[in-house]
Amino acid sequence: MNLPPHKQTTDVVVIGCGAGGGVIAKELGEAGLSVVVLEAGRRYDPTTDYHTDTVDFEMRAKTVFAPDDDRRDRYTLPRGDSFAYSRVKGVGGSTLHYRAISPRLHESDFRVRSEDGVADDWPISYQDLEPFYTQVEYELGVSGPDGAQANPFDPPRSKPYPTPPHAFNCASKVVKRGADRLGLHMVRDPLAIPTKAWNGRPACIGAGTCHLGCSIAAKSSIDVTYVLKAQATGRVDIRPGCMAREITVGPDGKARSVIYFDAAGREQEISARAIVAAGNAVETPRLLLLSTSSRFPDGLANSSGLVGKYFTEHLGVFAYGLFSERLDPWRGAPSGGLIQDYYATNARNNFARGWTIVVTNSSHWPLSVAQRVPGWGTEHKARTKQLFAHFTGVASIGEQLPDVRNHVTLDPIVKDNLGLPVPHLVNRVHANDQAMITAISVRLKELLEAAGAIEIWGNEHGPGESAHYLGTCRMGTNPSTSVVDPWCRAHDVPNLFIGDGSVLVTCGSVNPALTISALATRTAEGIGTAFRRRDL
Amino acid sequence: MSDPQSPRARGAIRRAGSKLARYADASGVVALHLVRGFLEFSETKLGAFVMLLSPKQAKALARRRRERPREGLRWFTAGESALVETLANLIAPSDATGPGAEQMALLGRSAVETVDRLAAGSPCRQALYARGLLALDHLAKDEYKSAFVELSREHQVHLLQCIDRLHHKWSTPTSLTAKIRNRTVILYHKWSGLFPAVEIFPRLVEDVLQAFYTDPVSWVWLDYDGPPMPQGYPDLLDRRWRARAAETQS
Repeated sequence: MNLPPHKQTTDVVVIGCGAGGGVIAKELGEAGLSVVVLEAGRRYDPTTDYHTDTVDFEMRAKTVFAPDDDRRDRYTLPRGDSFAYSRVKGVGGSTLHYRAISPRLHESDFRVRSEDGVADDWPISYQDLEPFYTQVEYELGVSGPDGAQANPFDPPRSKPYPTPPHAFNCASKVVKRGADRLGLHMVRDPLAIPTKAWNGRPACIGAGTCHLGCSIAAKSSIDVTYVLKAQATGRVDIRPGCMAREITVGPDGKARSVIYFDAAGREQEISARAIVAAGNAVETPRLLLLSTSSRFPDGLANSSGLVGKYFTEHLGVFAYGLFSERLDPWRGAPSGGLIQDYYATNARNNFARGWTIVVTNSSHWPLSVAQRVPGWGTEHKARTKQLFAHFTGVASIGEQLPDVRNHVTLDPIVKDNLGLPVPHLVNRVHANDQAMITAISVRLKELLEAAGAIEIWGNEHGPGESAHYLGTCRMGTNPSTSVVDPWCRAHDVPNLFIGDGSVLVTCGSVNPALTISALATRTAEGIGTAFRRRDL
Repeated sequence: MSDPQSPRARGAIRRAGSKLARYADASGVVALHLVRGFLEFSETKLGAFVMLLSPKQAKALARRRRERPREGLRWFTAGESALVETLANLIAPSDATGPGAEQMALLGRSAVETVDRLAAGSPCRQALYARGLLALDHLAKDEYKSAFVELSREHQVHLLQCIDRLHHKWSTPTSLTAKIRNRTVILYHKWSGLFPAVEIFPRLVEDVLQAFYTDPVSWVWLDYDGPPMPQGYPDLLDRRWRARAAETQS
């Protein structure tokens, strides 16, 4: 029996409820608009879903964000490539899983072409985004260092960090020892984990389970911050388990409706005056490419042919050091500080742009350490004992230059659990990236050596492992070289907006969540203004 | 072959293992029925031929299906649980570095019980274990004319090392010809009955490590003061105080 879908209308449909979509939903709800948010994943309840309080927490908690049906998160790669695409689907998106590192982009990141002659300039400047950065930081209660401890490379700020910084744990102090010896400025990284009670949420207790989900909701993931506020307006309807399949276009050339599968797998259609795509830099181009029509045969808003192009991630090189002293790296927030001395382009390098170094104190619990060690039996046990509590890691967040050869397309054969073509990902490192990776490895080794590591391993580039995917619907003023305008409105479709990391022109070398939220806040303001002016 | 210690080789092994794990964990009612049907099918002559099980194996599997789980367990039979216990004690041995799987039963759930719970929840794991444990025992009988649990520790370790080496060899082919050769060898050993023993091994190691390292015994041995929630970790001063108290005691 095929019943015609129930006719639904609303002011704005937001597709995806992560660092971008969740923010837009709250801002528009507060501006008085009716908003429906379609989120492909489920809703997580911190108090009951995150099993980090039992002896077998490492077994139980690690699968909490895994899909019920494996086919949901399928993707394909070119033969021979190894690119690990990881993300969390759920209300809150990948912020459910993130370590809440929230630095801002630097001023130079917006002027890459004019400063270094590579990639492209952004159509907006740091100053345009600064008020929105501040707004998001205060919403999330970002903790960060000020005064003498402040990061000397931080861009100018209009207000200090809302809450004081976290303390360095043992492992971070050891790395800082090395940084000090080399004359590097290791500072406490800004974390979206308040160190004092913030907006009704408790202060961080340093359990270090950030990426398994924070059961006391001290970590400012979008679901316990923006989404709650959005729902409090009474005008925002969050719909988990709803996977958008297509955005349809009306005869006037405007986006008319979204067709989606609801939580029961039934096809539904909802029409709206404005539509915001905020999946992520893979899901958003996938949806646009799926939305073909006679007007847009190559995919919605794709007259430039650039939807899905310039697929960028951060260059993550991971190195580990074994130390003779006990470090207990599992205490406190898992991200243990950052170094930005290598951030800016250095004329002496054979490549442009730079990177941030972060200390990663995550997953140092007994089972995680044991699983790092290959083998079994007595040797395995001895090595586990040797490593446990005595090693820590440093990782890079390097700027991969956007390259048109790196892209997201639809796989012609493989389908997901709903029968939709899965994304096909091509992301390879090119000359500039490779040169940077080589330099990063040298610097990471140098840092661990200076810190007194007695053994160093890893120090390899992990393709895709940064989990920061950006740049597939880039922003710009020229409709032939970009997909969206400086307000993240599609050049081709006046009521279609993009509210996620796809719009980033270059990726900078910092964790992107804060930037995505700040851009989303700005986009929401643009949408609100357009509604008030009756543009939409 | 590339060095098994290198991160790349480790990654390949882990991926091969996790591929199995992904299939194993994607359980559900449908999978359960499928696997049950499959197990029943594999006992028929045609099934044995299709799955490349030797008639002896097929018969033993059929016998296994009629047996009940051991008292207090959900899935392992008495014979299997003894074998898993022996294997757990080899994979996480109690030795000079500290306590092993053997000591787990003293403080709480034994290694067999944890692995049993994992197996009971996943039909694919059950299929792997049923075939693998059987094959392991056959291997012991072929090599040493004795059941695995009755072998001397040296022989047991030797057998596992052989299996481990085979697993490394088969899961990390270096060239296309090696790949083809591996496929042929695997096909042959599916018939000879050796393959299931190799197939189960990475899963067994993973399960035993999971059981051992999420147990208070290993936590005390490593001096880990979790679980992280709901309180976080006690103050560092408190920890130092405990360390000093332990020192004065010894």
